[in-house]
Amino acid sequence: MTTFNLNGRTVSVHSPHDALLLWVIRDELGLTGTKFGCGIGMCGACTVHVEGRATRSCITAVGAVAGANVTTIEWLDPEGKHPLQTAWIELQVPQCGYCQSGQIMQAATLLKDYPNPTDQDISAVMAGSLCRCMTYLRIRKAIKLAAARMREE
Amino acid sequence: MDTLSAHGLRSTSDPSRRGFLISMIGAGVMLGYARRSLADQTTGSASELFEPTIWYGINPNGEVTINITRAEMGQHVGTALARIVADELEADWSKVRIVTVDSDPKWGEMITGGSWSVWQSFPVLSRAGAAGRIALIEEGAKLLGVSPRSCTARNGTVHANGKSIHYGDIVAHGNLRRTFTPEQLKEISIKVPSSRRLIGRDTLALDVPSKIDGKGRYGIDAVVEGMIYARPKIPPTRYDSKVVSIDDSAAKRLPGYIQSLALDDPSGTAPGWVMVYADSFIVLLGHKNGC
Repeated sequence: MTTFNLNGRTVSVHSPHDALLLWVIRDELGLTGTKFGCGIGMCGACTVHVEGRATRSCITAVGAVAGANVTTIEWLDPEGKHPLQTAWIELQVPQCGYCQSGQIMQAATLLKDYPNPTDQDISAVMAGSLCRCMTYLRIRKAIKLAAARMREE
Repeated sequence: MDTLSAHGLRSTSDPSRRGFLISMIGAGVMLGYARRSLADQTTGSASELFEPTIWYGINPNGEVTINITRAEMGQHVGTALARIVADELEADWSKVRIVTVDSDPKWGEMITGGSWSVWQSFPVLSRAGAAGRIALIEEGAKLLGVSPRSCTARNGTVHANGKSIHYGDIVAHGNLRRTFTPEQLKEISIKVPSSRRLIGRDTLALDVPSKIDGKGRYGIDAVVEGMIYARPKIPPTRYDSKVVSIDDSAAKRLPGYIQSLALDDPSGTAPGWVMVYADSFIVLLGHKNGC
């Protein structure tokens, strides 16, 4: 049994220690906002926060997050109104949307490290989050819009 | 007789041969095309037995919920189809919701692709919206004590001689029951493009909010009661592989493992595959790593 903090709540899971965090979150804990993409940490669809850092849950054993704080897209903002999420709606970023949970979770840590990100910063940090719909241009715009609003706050 | 379309599927989307039913169900009103039963479609007999395919509903709060029978794949098709209904219905767009339907055969052909969805659905959905507007005006006029001819519908409200009533109040206090024959439906005139208020104007897609907070449901998120999981063990070579024996003694020690079966595939598409079953996908991942 592994105990960790998920979205502000202590959870104990029965999956073995080497079970992958992605499937524990989705299947055992029933939060399906985090997606399976490639299963080898190459696409970013499964990105969650572990202690505030963007982490690929599809290659992270649940045992490795014992005692840690894990946040998923469902709890980035309890009301779904993180500046990134409102910018995402305003600029109509998603098409199919499958990768967008991961995109937003990755972008949230980007803004912590780079409150005023340049195009280069965005490219460098977001390069590991793939979107087959090619929404990259709107992702870039939405990150800048959210960053500007967060700096004003 | 139904005709078979080019891709081999029976077309059930020809609205010119179907009537339209409006009826009260529970506290709300449901509006939809009548359809012959599937059995009748097969035999082609002209049965009078109609079964409504519910296309949209309006509740006493005036919320319009539109059933979407096309697959959302990033093209925001639900928003496009809802705009067609809402424009003719003169609905309040802020109260329009969409629901992606299940795979019940009653919805008819659900193929999504080929740039078909909008133009093929337009004749059906625009008339569905218009029929709803006509019924709401008639019933609204009764409630307002005016002639339907003096009424106009706009933004989810029926107006006449300085008086008005919201669609939700018509649903709550009126008795919306109406049947349109296929001929009556055909006679309904659809707006000319210059009169459209929603179609062709920019809007926020209705599916986007559920794609930024993790609430959207995708195929991989589907769960059914008592669901089990399976994944294939694939042979090292592509062609003519055969399963000689299965040794699942190690797998049997994993809690949640159910069984492994050699796939019987006369088509030869998946030769020599073994399907492994368990009560969770986590168990299957463990099985793979353990073999």
